[in-house]
Amino acid sequence: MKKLLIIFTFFIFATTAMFAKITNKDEDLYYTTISKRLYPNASVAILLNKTEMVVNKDNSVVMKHRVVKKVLNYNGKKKASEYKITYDTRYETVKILKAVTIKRTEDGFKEIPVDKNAIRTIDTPSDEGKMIYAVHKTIVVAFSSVERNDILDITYELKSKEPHKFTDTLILASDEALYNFDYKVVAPKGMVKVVEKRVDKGVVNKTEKGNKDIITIHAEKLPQIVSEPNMPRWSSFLPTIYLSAYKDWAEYRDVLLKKYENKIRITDKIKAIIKKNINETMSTKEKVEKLSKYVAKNLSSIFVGELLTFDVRDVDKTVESGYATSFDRIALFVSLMKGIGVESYPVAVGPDAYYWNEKKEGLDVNNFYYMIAKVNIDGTSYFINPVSEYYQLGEVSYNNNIGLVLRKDKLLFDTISSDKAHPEKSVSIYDMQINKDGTAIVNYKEKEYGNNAAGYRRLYRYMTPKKKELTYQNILGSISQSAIPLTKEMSINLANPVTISFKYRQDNFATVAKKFFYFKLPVSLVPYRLSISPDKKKYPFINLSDKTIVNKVVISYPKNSELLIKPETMKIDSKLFSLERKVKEVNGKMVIVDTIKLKRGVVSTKEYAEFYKKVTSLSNPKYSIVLMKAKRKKFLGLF
Amino acid sequence: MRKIFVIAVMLFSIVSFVSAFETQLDRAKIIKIGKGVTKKKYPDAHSVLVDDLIVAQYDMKGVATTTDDTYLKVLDEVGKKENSSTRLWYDTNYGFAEMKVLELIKPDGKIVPIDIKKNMKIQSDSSSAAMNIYDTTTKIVKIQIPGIEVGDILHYYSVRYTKKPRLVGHFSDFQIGEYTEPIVHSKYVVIAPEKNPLKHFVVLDPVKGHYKKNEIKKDGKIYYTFEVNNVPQVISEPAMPSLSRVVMRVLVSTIPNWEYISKWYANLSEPKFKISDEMKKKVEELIKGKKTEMEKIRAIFYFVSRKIRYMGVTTETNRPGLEPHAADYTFKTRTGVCRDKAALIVAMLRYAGVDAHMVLINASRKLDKEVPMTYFNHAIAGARLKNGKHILMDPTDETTKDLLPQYEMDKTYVLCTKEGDTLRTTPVLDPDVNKFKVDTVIHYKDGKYYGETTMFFYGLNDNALRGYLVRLNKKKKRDLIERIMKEVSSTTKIITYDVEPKNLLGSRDTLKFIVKYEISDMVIGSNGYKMLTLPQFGNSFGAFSWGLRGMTLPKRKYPFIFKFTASVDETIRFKNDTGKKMAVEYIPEDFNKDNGGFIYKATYKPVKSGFVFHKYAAIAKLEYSPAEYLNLKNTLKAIENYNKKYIIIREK
Repeated sequence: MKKLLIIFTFFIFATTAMFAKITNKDEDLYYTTISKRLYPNASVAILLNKTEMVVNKDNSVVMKHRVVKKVLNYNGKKKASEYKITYDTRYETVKILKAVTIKRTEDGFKEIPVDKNAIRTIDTPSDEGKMIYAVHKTIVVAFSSVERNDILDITYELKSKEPHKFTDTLILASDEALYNFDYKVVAPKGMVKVVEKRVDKGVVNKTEKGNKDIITIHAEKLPQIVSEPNMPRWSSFLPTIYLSAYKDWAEYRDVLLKKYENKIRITDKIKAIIKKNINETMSTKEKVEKLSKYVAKNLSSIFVGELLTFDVRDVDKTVESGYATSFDRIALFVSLMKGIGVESYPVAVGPDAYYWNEKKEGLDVNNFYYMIAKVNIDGTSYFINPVSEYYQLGEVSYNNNIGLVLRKDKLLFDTISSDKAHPEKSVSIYDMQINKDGTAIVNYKEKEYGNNAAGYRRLYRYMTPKKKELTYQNILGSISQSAIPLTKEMSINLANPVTISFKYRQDNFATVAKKFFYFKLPVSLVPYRLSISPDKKKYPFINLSDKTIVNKVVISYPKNSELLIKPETMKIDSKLFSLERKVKEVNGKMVIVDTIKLKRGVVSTKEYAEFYKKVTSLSNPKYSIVLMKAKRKKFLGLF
Repeated sequence: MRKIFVIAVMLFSIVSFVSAFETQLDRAKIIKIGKGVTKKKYPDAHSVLVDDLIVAQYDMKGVATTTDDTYLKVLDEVGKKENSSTRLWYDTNYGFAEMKVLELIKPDGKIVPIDIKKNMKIQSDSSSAAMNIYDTTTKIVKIQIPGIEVGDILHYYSVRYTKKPRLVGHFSDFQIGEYTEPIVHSKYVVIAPEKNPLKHFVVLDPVKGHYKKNEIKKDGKIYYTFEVNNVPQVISEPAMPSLSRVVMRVLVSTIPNWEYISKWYANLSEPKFKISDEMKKKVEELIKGKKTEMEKIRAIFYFVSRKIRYMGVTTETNRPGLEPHAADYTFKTRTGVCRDKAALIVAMLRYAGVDAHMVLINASRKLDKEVPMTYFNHAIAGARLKNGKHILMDPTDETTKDLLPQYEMDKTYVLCTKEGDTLRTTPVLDPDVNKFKVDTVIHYKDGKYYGETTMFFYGLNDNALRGYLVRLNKKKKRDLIERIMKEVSSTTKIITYDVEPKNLLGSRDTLKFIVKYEISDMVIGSNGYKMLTLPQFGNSFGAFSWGLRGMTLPKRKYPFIFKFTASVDETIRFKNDTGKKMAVEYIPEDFNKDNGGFIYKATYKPVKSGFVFHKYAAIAKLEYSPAEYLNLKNTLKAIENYNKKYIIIREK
């Protein structure tokens, strides 16, 4: 069982409990003083988030969960008035014990029970179209007559018979004001391991009672986190507690391996697919690529972001159904590899390598959510995700994520990566002839590698001629309203790298203003779009991309002018990027080459001011404007 | 023939049970025709509709059955992917739909049947959950089609049963005879009882030489037939009207006129306007001291729009999805969907003495006035004032300042009254109703701009932004303003900011941002010459700038549609505080274009120690024909060039 706080089941309405008298203890809770100073951004005050659970030897769980929220404003009303409980219908049942709106009266509080008709169980929206994997239901509890300052109090019980081991990750923070957080687990002695990160002493307590461990966690007035762009995962910098009933990673690997037991096999259907798609004149690489593309083209993809609760389907059933999750698809693909005698393994995709050390220590198995494959061809390993025909061999998404390779003989965590021929890189080349009247004739060429290349293949491979024509027109229209095609169509090559080229004319590219003549380079030096200024930045800034961007501009311009403002050679190195601009005059042409390399890493809030200054300074028009002047002077006046 | 699915409150589904009429096509014949359907012949298609027969039969009560026999050829991988599964929708309150036959015809003629039961999953349609409506009665049947390959013909035969017509005794439908895939042949037949014939059988935007239409009486029935042949595919363009407004289409209906629909919905809603004592008390409290009819209307409107939470979880009994809940129930629970909130406002207004009514509207597209049908997807309220004017009110939006949000302009609606009313169109408003006004003062010194900008948001600008702002906390509000300010330069540093009115929900004062800031990179250059540009927020923010998106095509086949009228009125007062004299080497000329509905004017006027820039731009007309679009593009080209101009100065 995982993420207990958000998973539930079967619903039974307990009418009698709705009218229970308000206890003194609850009254004290409802009277909690709300601090605007502490939580200036809160729209809801969670007065209590309390979980009590009993984990049994067979991994079954009984959990009681209570949430008490006070609505502070309109936004809070929008967020809190409907309480949603999603559960897995195969393993879980839910019983709502209490659901009331609490209103303040002159002499205390009164309860308004939720109308029975205002509780509905629906198919979980995110399950739509997932065929046999649509197993969840969502209970929507709509609180009645909610106004600002009302309190919404709900308690429910969950019983889970999910066979997999208990794990949970608790981050001691919230996106709203959280006043009291109580969490208690009673489990067989020694069953649940606890790993604390950045947690204050005394927050977590472990006691023993008979043959049981009792783990309690109590925290008050937790920090409210207001998200920022490029923020690291909360668990990487906030107090976090990992609870896990797994002994070690090998045990988790064995659970996944067991799912594939007898599922990787060469059936008649597998043989038929191999026969249909490959012949002996093909190289091993070609065979692997062909079969990978076959799987991608013939199985609709269904995303299921969990690996533990479903069984891997038999390969024949997967083929017959025409759809597959990642784990089914990999069983099929690895079977095909086995059929052609190529060594391959399923690989569970986990978190980015940046987060791995801590997740590893905390045995946080829920971070593994997808399956790809690792294939060995003539001594070289490749990661393959046969969900998309647009990736080449050696090219893979999930770059820099941790992959758990499912091998019996060893516990192997790899960092997933594309090969050297498929880096994350974009190259743009503008060869421009700028005339005296400001018109530019531009030869444009773009080279894309890695994920961008796959994206272009996805876009263009099956694009019809008419659609290509419209796309070309749209591209030119987005460059400028004045851009006119000089080549009839775009030249597109979808190999590695993907190349796109076309030629166009842009009237008024350069502005001719009296004796002045100026234009803006069609490239940018800015590596990151930073929207938060340093004085308001609260959390670190993370970049996990290692992409290289190269922009080359070759300009022929009118010669009988004086250059007043022009780009200069420059070099900048920073924690999260490096930038080099080379400006040269070659055969009377100005040649500008910008190389921007993004670096993986984190800038702390302390470092952010300098980083921000460096990045924002690069948007200065002085780096993109070229100003020229004719010799004759004309004077307009003074101000 | 392709069906356009109108989601939400589709008042009519399709029709009746099929009797002796042949509802299935001759497969062998189609296989032969399909052989000639190739990628070479249709290079711009991913799949082609080889043949299609839709037969709808209804009875005197409006109970109907519709069969659909379709043959579609897959020409490439995209066509294969698009057809690797199929879906049927139905509302269990009114009927159901089922797939009877599903098979693949391979290029060699081999028939591969698909096991429908094995490959099928029925789930609730969750699309409305995002709007806070939790409906379990609308179902989606998804059927996976394993083994489909390029070159296959996909054949399916489905039946839709309407066991309970929304409008008793009536039938209406529309089908399109032109689609984004080529149509080789398609036929639509309506079988009507002679005693309940179609009142309307109309083809709009016909593609000449590619269609036939006729009607035959036989054995007490009337057979209406609409048939199309070799219709080229539609290539969609950005910002075009909805497909169902521009392509060849057939509309059929037994409903005599729009007044009939008006009366029907008025009668359906009337019992729901019962008013409780608590409601009466609330109305009296709200209108206390309000003298005019409009003051009373506004007071009640803002109560309903702001205090009744938009949420649907309970079902109605008579006409689920159509009829509103009783007004007193909505009032008590403080929750409801569009029709519930509209019914509540009608009930409260009537108690206050206002002649209020329910209104059916299609908020997504304009309906064809020629044929009355109930393809409305939204319910609002309307009132006939004592001075003879009509007003419309949409209390759905909880944060709106306007009675009728601007995004509902130029949409078709029916005011639902006992005596009946016709189809009307909501007015296209003056662009200044949706004005974004910007007043900026810039002090230039030490190489930086020190600015103060006040932004005033009206109409649509107010509506969109106010609704967004109330959902943001303090930090997120600041982040939003910072993002807006950084549109002109990433070096923009906010010194102070203010949002007025403070109480965005309680006050109806104009929404304003007042921001003081500095920008360090809007003046560039050295050696005496400097280039200056101005922070024009109207170029990147506000309804006017949003409206200009999507104008990338050099020419069009279909009209270009702006979704709303809007204007921007921006003034920038530039003051040279450097203490140095500056010679103006170049200042942009005045700009003035009025393109018959699209206006753009800009001037730079020198004043003591600086200059004043003023710009006024407006979208005053919504629809532009392909010819008008070319003029519009030329204007935009000129604007683009004008906006690239810098002021060039030389420091003395």
